[in-house]
Amino acid sequence: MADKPKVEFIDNPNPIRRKVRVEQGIDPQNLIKRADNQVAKLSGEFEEIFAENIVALGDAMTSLRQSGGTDEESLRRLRVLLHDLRGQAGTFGYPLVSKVGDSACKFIDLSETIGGTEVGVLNMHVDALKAISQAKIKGDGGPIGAELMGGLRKVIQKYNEKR
Amino acid sequence: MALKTYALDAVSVLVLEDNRFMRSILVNVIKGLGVTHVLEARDGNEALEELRNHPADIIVMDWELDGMPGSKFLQTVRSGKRGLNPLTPVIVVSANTIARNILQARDTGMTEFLAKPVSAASLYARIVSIIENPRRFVRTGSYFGPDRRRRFEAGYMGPKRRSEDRTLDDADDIDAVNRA
Repeated sequence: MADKPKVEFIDNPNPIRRKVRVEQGIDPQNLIKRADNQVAKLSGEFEEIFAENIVALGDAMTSLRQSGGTDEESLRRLRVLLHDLRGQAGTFGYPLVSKVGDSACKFIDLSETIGGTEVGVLNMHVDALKAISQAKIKGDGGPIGAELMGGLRKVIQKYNEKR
Repeated sequence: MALKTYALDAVSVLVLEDNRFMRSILVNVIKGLGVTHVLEARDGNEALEELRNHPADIIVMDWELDGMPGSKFLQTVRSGKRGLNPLTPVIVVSANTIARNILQARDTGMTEFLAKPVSAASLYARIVSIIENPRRFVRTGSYFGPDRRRRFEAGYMGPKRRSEDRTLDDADDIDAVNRA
């Protein structure tokens, strides 16, 4: 029988602890609010990026659809754009965009192959993002947002059932 | 326990993120939290160069990077080679929350995971966790990094990560659930 691998534990000296100090009587929410305000300064730039990405997503989707899902470069571009949107939109008040982007990325990542059926599912995600962008749906989108996400979830569930 | 307010002005943070705008978001949050010394890197090589010249107290890194993969960068940091501090706390920030992605980062030696989109509150909570609950490091034949068991109490009921006490920790199972 093979020997059990040796396990060595190393105590963490935690030098950061010596570099920070607790600010008594100051609500941490003030600090967090200050940081949120700092990020909010980037919201104008995000709106521009969002609009540009929607156009680029449409272009990548068209190329992918025309190739029947085989154009790997279009798929890579599509995923990069979706991945960027899911990672950024929620920070600027568009959590619905992040959710739709996340759903599309997971669909790509967990699909073994991309063909006509998969392209159809991705197209629905891109259409949803276009609709959110056009209508400037912020927050969770209320009933419209729930309907959009519910629709995408059903499509993926149906797709999974057929596999 | 109530969250404390920490003055972070003496702490240095390296941000490794290939997307320019996402890097701006992270830098703005970190500076907004009071960190004055923030280094930036666009790729793993640039980050390693920065760390050799200016060791950072905390690394905040994207996982899906152009060029050198995030896993390779983290492995290099944990190796401690060429003057790198292998004990540096590393917060992995990723929009990819598929279980196998998170488990890969954990098994490469990350300290904390933060899902994008980021908020100031979530990043601050990770920094406070690093300050208040430093994890001991473990070296085995195949792993060097923070102890993947976060709690050491006798009554610990969380997931068990070691091979000898692993019961259900199969990334593919979690992915299958996430997909629905």
